[in-house]
Order: sequence, then C-alpha cells, then structure tokens
Amino acid sequence: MNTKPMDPYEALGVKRTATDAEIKKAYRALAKKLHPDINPGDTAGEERFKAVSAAHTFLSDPEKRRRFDAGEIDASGAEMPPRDYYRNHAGTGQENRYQSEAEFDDLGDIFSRAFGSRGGGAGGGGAHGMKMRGADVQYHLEVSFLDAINGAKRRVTMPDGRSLEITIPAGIEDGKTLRLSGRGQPGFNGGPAGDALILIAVLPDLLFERDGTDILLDLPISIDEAVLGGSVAVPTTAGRVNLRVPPGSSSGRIMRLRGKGVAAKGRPAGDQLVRLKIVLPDIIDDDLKTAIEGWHKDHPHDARSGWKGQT
Amino acid sequence: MMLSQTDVLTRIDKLTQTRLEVCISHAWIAPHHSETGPMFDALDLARLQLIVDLTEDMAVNDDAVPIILSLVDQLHALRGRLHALDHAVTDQDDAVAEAIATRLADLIGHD
Repeated sequence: MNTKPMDPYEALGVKRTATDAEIKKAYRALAKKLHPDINPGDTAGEERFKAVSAAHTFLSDPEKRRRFDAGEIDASGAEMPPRDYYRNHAGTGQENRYQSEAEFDDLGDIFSRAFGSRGGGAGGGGAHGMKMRGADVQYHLEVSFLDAINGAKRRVTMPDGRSLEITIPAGIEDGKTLRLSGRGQPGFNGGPAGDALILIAVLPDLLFERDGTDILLDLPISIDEAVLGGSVAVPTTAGRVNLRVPPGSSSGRIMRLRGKGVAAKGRPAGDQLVRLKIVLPDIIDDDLKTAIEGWHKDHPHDARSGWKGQT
Repeated sequence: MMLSQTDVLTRIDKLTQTRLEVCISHAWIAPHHSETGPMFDALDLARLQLIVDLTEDMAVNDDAVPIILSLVDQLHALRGRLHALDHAVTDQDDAVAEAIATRLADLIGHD
C-alpha cells in the first residue's frame, strides 16, 4: 500500500485547470497503456494503474475535486475497492474455459508435439480447420444432500430450449463436474458437438453431514437412555434403522452403523457415524432432582478425574 | 463461489442489466446455466470487469471487444505454455538448461 497518497492531477499528468473532458481523455490514454489485463506480465504497472484509476475516480467526483482544490481533503479519500483482475484467473498457467480455442500447431516441432493435439480427443479439426467442434455448455445444478448420496435423475432445460436428462450418480461430491458427451452446442461443417458440463453443487442437509464416504449424524438421547441403554430408531440416508445404545453412554460417544454411509460406485460403502448427545428434560422436576441428590450423596463421582484439563 | 445475475450487477458498479445481457448474447461471457438463470464464477466476474473497463473507461466499441478478448485469451494461453516450457527446461540437467538458455538468448538477440 502506498503510504503517501499521490496528487491525482500528477497521477493523470493533467493541469489543475483541466476540464472534465481533458481528465477523462488523459485517463483513457493511460488506462489503455497500463491496464493489467493488457499487460499480464507487468506487476509494477498494476500499481500505476491503480493510482491512475483512483485519481480518475477522485477527480470525477465534483465535490471531492472541489474540496481537494480548496485543500480540505487529501487524495487518500479515493481508495479503490480491491478488485480481481482477469489475468489472476487467466494467467495462472491452468487453462480456463475461455482459452480453449487457442491453437499452437504452427509454433514448430516441440510445441506441436507437446501442445498440438488437444481438446480431449474431440478436436478432429485436422490441419484445415474446416470441421469445428461445437462449444461446451456449462450448467450449474443444485442437488439436495440426499439426492447426492442416493443418486437421482433430473430433467433440466438448457438455454436453447432443449431438455436434458441428467443422471446424478450415487455418492457424487460437491463441486464435481459431470460431462455429457455430445450434449453441448452442435459442431460446424460436420464437426462433433461439444459437451454439456454439469457442475454439481450439493446443498447442505439439516440432519446429515458428509465426511468422505462416511455420514455423520448427531443423535439426541434422554438421560435414562444414556444410563440404562435402549434401542433408538435412527434416520439414515436410506431410511430408519434401530440403533442399540449401550447402557452407560456418555455424550460424544460415537456409534458406527456399518455400511450405512455413502455407497458410491466402485468404492466400498462408508459407515454412518452416530454421535450421541444427552439431552436433559426442559424442566428438571422434583423427582429427578431427588433421585440424583440421593445418588450423589452415596456415590461421589468426579467426571473430570483423568481429564487433561484437571490440574 | 457462484453468483447470480443480481449479485454480479451489485459487484460491478458500471454494469447494467442490458449490458450484461449483451455480454452473454455475444458470447463474450459464457456463464454456467442453472434452473434459476445464469450463474457466474470468479473467472466470469473478472472477465466482465475487464469488458466494462474496455467499453466504459477506454471507450472501446462493441465490435472490438471480441477481438481484444480473443487476443487476451491467446496471450494468456501462450504465456501459460511458455511457463510450462520454462519448467520443462529447468527440469533438465544444468548443462542442457544452460545450453538452451544461451541458444535462446542468441536467437532473440540477433533477430
């Protein structure tokens, strides 16, 4: 960050008497020269561009300009909000979807061998470039947690009006992309159609959480179930099952329901991990109080003995 | 991060609904489609900001926008490949890397 704000007139290289039109013109000329996306390799230029943009924003505000001219404020009143340049995404070395058309076949042997035939086998354009593959279509699809775990079929309407049936495979993870080969834009001159790329966003669930192939669930149990044990009906992503809570279960104890986790194709099914949570009644009545007091009198129990937090 | 059309219009001051639709219909921007309309990621947002800079601040007309975008994309793709080449050369034995660097300097210097 600059410590000393630059004089906005100086930054733009205009006189203090410059008209609005002259300021705009000076800014345009500098912006064309300095814009970071036109100079992807020049990091020093970005600072100048920021200063120039800030100066322009500053002087475009008649009130700010008047007060600056009158010496009422300094140039620091015009801090630009942090912004993200295209080159930060496009210049990472990773190919993005806007760069897929670039061809490097004419750059000599090494480059042709390394970069020449791309396009995931769907290129097919050949040296003449007459046949062209259709463009890929990107689709963002939100699916419920349970649909993502169990799999589902969804019918969506693409922007061109076509209806597309999407099979969501069981166990799909958030952020994964499904590629529907040939379901994108049609090709040109007999070229193959592009693909439909379906980006999956899995919505959170009120009950369940996912950890890899395991499903996590917090299960409230009553104080008598915790002490005496019992059988509790527990929801899983595939319906309810009975879980035997052993006598003497503390809060935080984790019970494992084998094979009740995520069953993705080609992987062994995960487990559902049920974390017990003892929940006391809303109102502690006299019976409960008396019972606990009686028990406590004859049975000193220190829940924190052996605990690391005990000094 | 996925943004709706409304989010994008709030994020980019000088962008209007009409202009956003122009950007999409000309395929300068290819947002993700969804059941609730177009969705934009960080890449789309930065590209839109660049388009706004070009058309609003630099007074570039709409006919020139796709040419500039295409050149910018080609430039980035080319830079990406130069970086890859740099990695590949660096990974070689020192003598090989040195020989390539010297020869490169020759070629660039005398051309």
